[in-house]
Amino acid sequence: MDILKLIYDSIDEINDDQEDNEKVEKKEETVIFGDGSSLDSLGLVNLITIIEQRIEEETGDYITIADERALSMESSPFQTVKTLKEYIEMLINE
Amino acid sequence: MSKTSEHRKVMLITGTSRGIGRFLAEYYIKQGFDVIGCSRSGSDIKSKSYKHFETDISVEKNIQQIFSHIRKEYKKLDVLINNAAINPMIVPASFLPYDVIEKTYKVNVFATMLFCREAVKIMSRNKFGRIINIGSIATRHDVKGESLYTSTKAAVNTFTRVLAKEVYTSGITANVLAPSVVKTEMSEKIKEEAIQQIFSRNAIDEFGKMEDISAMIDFLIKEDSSACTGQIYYLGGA
Repeated sequence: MDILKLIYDSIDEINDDQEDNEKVEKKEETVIFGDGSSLDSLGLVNLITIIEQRIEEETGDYITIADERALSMESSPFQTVKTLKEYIEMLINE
Repeated sequence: MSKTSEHRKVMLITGTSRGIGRFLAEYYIKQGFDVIGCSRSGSDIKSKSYKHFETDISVEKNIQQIFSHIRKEYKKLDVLINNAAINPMIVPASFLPYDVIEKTYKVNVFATMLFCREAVKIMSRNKFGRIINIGSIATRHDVKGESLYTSTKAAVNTFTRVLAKEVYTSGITANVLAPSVVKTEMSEKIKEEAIQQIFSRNAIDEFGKMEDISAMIDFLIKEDSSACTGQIYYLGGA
C-alpha cells in the first residue's frame, strides 16, 4: 500500500472543503498541524479520520492513528505529511 | 454494495434490548430508519431494517467492531443515541465498592465517549450528524443513594457540551436528553419514596412516557434543528 498516495488522496478530499487560499499542499514537507498549517484542529481530525477509513477500505483492518502513543510522543507524528507517513508505516508494520 | 440507499437515515442506538432503547429502536424502524442496536443480551426485534450486536460495550474493541460494520454496510451514520446505562447499586456513597464504580463508569461514561468519538469520525466526513446522549433528571435533583449513577450522568452532560463546540462546524449537533422517570426495569429498582421525592420537585408529578422521549428526539434530529446543540433538555419539568 502506498501510504503517501493514500495521504495525498485524503488531502484532496479535505481540500474540497478548504478555501482556495487554505488548500493543503501535497508535499512531504507540508506542515499539517500547528504554526504554518492551513488546517485547524478539527481539520486535522478530519484528515486523520479519512486516512483511517481509507486504510480500512484498502486493507480491511482499522488502525487508530491518533492513539495514546502518538499523542504522548515528544516529537509529534502530526507535524508534517512526512512524519505522518512514517508513523502510519510503523503502525502498519507492527 | 451499501445495504442502504443514500436517502434512508441510519441510526445507532445503544442498549436496545429493553426499556427506552428498545422503544426507540422499534419507533425509528417504523419511521423508516435503518437502525443498528446493541446490548449485552440478544434481541428479538425482527425487522429487515434492524441489525443487532450482542456485545459488551465496556470493551473498546467491541465498539470499534460495530463502527467497522457501519462504515462497510451503511457508509454513513446520521444519528447516534447513547442510551445504554447501568445503575447497579443504589447505596450511600460511603458504601460504594471500587469494582462497581469502575463498571458503571465504563458503561455510562467511557462507552458514551467512545461511541461519540467513532460516530463523529463518520458523521464529519458526511458533514451531518445528530448525537443524543441520554441523561437523567437525577443530575437536577441530587437524590441520596444515587451518587454513582448521577455522577456518571453529570460527566455525560459536561462531555456533551464540550463535544458540541468541537463538532459544530462539521454539521454535527450533540445534546443530552434527560427524561423524567419512565417505567423500566431500571426505574423499578428505585425506591417509591425516592421517586415521589423526584416527582415533588418536577412540574409534572407523574411518570413520563416513552413518547415524550421520541417526540423530543424527533425534534433534535431534524436537519432544521442545526442550531440546537450543546444543551441538556430535561423532561417532566425538572
